[in-house]
Amino acid sequence: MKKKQFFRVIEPYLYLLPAMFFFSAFLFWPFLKTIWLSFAMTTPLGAVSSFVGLGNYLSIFTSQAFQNSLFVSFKYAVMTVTCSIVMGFILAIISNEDIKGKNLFRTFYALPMAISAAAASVVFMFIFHSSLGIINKVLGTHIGWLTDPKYALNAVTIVTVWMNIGLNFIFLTAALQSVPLDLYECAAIEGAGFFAKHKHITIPCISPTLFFLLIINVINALQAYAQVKLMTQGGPSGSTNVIVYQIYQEAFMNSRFGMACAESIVLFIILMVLTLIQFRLEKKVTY
Amino acid sequence: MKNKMAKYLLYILNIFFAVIIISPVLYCFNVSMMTMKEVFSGGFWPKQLIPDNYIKALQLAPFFTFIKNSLIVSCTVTFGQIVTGALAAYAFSMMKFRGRNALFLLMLATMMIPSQAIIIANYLIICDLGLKNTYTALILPNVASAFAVFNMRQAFLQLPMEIKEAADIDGCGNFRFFCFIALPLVKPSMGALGIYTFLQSWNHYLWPLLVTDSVNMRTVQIGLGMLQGAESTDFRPVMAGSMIILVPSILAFILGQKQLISGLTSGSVKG
Amino acid sequence: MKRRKKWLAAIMAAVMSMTLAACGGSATSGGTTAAGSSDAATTKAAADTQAPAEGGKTVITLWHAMGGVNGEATEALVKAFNESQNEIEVKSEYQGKYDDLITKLKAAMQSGSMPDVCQMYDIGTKFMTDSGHAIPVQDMFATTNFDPSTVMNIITSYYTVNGKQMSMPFNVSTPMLYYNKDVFKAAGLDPNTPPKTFDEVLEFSKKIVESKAAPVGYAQAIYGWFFEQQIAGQGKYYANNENGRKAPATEVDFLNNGAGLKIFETWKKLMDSGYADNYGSTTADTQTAFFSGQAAMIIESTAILKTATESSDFEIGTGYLPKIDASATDGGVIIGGASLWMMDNKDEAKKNAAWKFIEFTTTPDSQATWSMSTGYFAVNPKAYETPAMKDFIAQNPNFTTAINQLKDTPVNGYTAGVLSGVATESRTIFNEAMEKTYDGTYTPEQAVSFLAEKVNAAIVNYNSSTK
Repeated sequence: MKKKQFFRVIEPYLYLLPAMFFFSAFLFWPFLKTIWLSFAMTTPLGAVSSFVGLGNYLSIFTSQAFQNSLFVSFKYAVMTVTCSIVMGFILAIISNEDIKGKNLFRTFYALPMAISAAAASVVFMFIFHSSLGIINKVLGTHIGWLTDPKYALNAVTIVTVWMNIGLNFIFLTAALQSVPLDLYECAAIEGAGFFAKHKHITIPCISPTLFFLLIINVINALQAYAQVKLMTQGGPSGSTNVIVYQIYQEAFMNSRFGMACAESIVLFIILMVLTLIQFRLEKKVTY
Repeated sequence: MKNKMAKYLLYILNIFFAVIIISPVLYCFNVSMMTMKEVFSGGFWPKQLIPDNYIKALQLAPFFTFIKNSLIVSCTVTFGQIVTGALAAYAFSMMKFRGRNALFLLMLATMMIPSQAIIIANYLIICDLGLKNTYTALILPNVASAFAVFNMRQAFLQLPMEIKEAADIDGCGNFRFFCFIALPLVKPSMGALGIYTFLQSWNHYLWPLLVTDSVNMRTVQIGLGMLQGAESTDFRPVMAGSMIILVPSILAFILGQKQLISGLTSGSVKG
Repeated sequence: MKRRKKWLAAIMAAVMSMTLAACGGSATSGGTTAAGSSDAATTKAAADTQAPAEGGKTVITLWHAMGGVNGEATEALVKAFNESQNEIEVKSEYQGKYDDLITKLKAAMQSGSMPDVCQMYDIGTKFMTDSGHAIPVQDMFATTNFDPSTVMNIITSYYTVNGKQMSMPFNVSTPMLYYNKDVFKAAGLDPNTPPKTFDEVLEFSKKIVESKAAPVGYAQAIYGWFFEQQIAGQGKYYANNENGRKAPATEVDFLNNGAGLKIFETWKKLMDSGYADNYGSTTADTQTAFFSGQAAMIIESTAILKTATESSDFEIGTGYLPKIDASATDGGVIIGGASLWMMDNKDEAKKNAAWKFIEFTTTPDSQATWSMSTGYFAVNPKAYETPAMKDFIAQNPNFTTAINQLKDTPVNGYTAGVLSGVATESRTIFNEAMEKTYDGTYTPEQAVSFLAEKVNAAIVNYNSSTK
C-alpha cells in the first residue's frame, strides 16, 4: 500500500521528467552562463576579460539606444499582437463554416508560415519598394515604406502579421473543433445571430487557446528580429530597432557578448513580468 | 434567402483573404520562372514557364540531400516535442502536486530567453559531447519546448473535468487515461502543434549552420543561403529553391490538417 | 501572507532546479566554460586534428562564405588545386554569409575546431589579427620563395598590419559609379562622360530629372563602406595612428580633419535637391532601383557588374567613384571584399598544406578564371595578360574602368583603409547618423559629432576588452 502511495506522490514528476531533462541541459544551464556573462566584459572572442559587476546593466539603462529599442518593441508588439490574433480569429471562423473548398482555404492561410525568410524578404522588398513597389502603385503614393521613420515600423509589422497569421489561424482552428456543436444548435434555436453566437459561445469556449496565443504572440513579438535584420537593419533612424535586434547586434556584430547577455536578462525579466500579469488577468476572466 | 446571402459573403471573404495572403507566395513562384530582366521590369506574371532557375538552384545546392536531412530532423523534433510536451502538460493540467505552479512558471520562463544569448553556449555543449556534425546535434536541443508544453496544457484544460472524474471513479490509471482518452480528445491541438513545430524546425538556420560542417549533414535553409551572393544576388534561384523546399511543408500541413479537424464531434464529450 | 509564501516556494524551486541543472551540465562540459581560454582551445585543437586521409594525403579544411555563382567559382578553384597535385586535399565548406561565418569561427575558436584556411571579410581583419589564432601569411613566404609582389600592392596594403601581411586577398572589389547610358542620351548628356565629382553628379541629376529621362537622377545605399571610401578619396584618415595601422586606433580622425563633415554636407545637399533619392540601407533596394531604370546613377561594388549587365534592359556605363573634393590628389578607393586566413591548428603539415593552397589561389591562371567567373578583381596583375582575360576585358569594357580606377589609386595610408575592431558597429552607427541627417533630425555638423562620439566610445570599449 505504501508503495502505491509513494508512486502517487512521484507520478506527476515522472511526467515532467523528459521535458525537464532537455530544458535543464539546453536552456537552464546556458541561461546560468548568460547570467554569469552579464556581469562581465568580454573579449571579441566571447571570453571574459574582466568582471564589471553591474556595469553592463548601468550602461543599458543610461543608453538611449536601448531605451529607444524598448519603446519601439512595445509599439511593435501592440500592433502585431492585436492584428495577428484578430486576423487569425477571423480566418479561423470564416474557414470553419460549412463551405466548399475550405481545406484549400485553410492551406492557403497557413502557407506563409512555410515560406522561408530569405524568399519573403525579397518579395517584400519588391512590394514596399518606394519607386517600383506594388503598394505605392496601388495607392498612387511615393512613400518610402522602409526608408521613412514614420512608416518603417508599420511595414515591418505588416510583414510580421503576414508571417504570424498562420500560427494563430492554425491554433484557433484546432480550438474551434472542440467547441461542442450542440451549444451552437441551442443558440440557433434561441435565434442568436452570427455575432452573438461567436461572442457568447465561441470566444468563451476557446478562451484557453486565446490566452495561450496572447502570451505566445507577446513573447514572439518582443523576440522578433529576423524581419528587421532582413528589411531595415534597425533603421531608419532607429525606428525599427527592436530589442532582440539590438541584442543580436551586440552579441554577433559588435562582439560585446557580456552586454548582449545583460540585455537578454532585462528582456527576460520584462517578459516574465508581462506573462505573470497576463496569468493574473486570466484568473479574473471566467470561462 | 438570408442564409444564402451569408454563404456568398463567406465565399467572398475567404477568397479576398486567400488572395491577399497567397499573392506573396505566388510572386515567389512567378519570379522563379522569370528571366533576369523580367524581374526588374516590374511585372507580376512571368512570360514563360521555364525550369532554368530550378536547374540552377539544384546545381548550386544539393537540395534533395538537404530535404532528406531536414525531414529527418523536423519529424523527430516534432515527434519529440509532442511526446515531451503532452506528458508534461498532462501533469500540469490533470494532476495536483507540490510546486506545480512554480515548475510550470519555470518551464514557461524558458520561452523568454532570447536564443541569441544561449546559442553559443549550446554549441559548446554539443562540441563537448562530441556530437558535432550529427543528426543528434541538430535534434537534441529542440526535443522539448515550453511552447509545446503550454499548448498541450491549454488543450487539456479545455476538456471537461467530468471525464477525468469519471475515469478516476472507474479506477482508470493515469497513464491509461492519458494514452487512450485524453490524447485522442486533443488530437486537433496535437495536429496544430505538429504543423507548427515541423515548420519551425524546417525554418531553422543558425543552429544547423553552427553544428554541421559537411554538406551532407546540412538542412534546407542553409541550402537557400548557398544560392545568395555576397554583393548581389540573382533572386530567381533563391525563389526556385524556396519553392522546392515548400513542397514538403505543404505535405506536412495536409497531414497535420487531418488531425486538426478530426477532433471532437458533438457527443463524444458526453460519452 | 499566504501568497508570499507561495512565491517564496516558487523561487526556491527555480533556484534548486537550476543548480541541479548546472551540476549536470558541468559534468559534461569539461574544460570549456562559456569561453574557454585559448590554452584550452589549442590543446583541444591538437587532439581534434583529423587523421590524414588514405594515401597519405594531408587533408585541410577551407571555410568560405561564397554563395551563388561565387560559390561555384570557389568550388572550381578548390577542385583545380586538388587535381593539380596529389599530396594535399582541400575540403571546402560553405559556412553561411560573412556575418554567419565570423560567428561560427568565433564559436569554433572557443571549442578548438577551427578550419585550416578561413575566408574573412575585410572588416574582420582586426578581429583576426587580435584573436591570436591566425598565422600571418607573410611568415610563410620564405618556405616556398613566394614573391610578395605577385599580388598588387594596393590590394595587400589593406591586409597589412604593423608592416606584416596577415592574410591573402581573395575576393577583391571597390565601389564605382554605374550609370544608365540610355537615360544620359535622353537627357542630352554625353553617354561616355560620367560625372567625376559630386558637383557634377548633382548637375547631371538635375538635367536627368528635369528632362524627365528618369524619375531619379542618383541614388546610393546608406552604407558605411561608402563613407569610408569618401574619406580615403579626400586623402584623409578615418582614425588616428595612421588609420590604426601604426598603433591601435584610439579615436576617429574624420571629425578633426573635416573629411566627415564634407561628406555629410555633400550628400545632404544632393538629397535635399530632390534629384536624388534614398532607398535605405539594404543595397539590393538601390540596385533594384537602378536595374529597373528608376534611378539613372548609383554607386555600387565593382563585383556586381555582371549582375547589372544581365539584369537591366539598357546600356550600362561605368565611371570612377565621384569625388567630394576634386583637388585631392593623394586619395583614391579602398579595396573591399575578403581574404584567406591561415588558422593556427598547431600542425606543421597542415600549415604547409594550407599555405600551398593559398599560394595556388594567386597564380595568374587561378586569378584569371576566378575574376572572369565572379567579377572580382584578379589580385595578380599577370592574370590580366593571360589570353582568356584579355578577351574577357575586350568584351566587357566596363571592367576596364574598375581595373583602371584601382591602378590609378596611390598606395598610401589613406587608401589602405581603417584597421578597426569596431568596423561593423561603426557602420551601423553611420547608418543612424546618415538617416537622421536625411530626415532633418541632425544637421551635418551634429551628425558627424554624433558619429565620432559613438565610434570613439566603441573604440575605447574594444581596446579595454582586448587588453
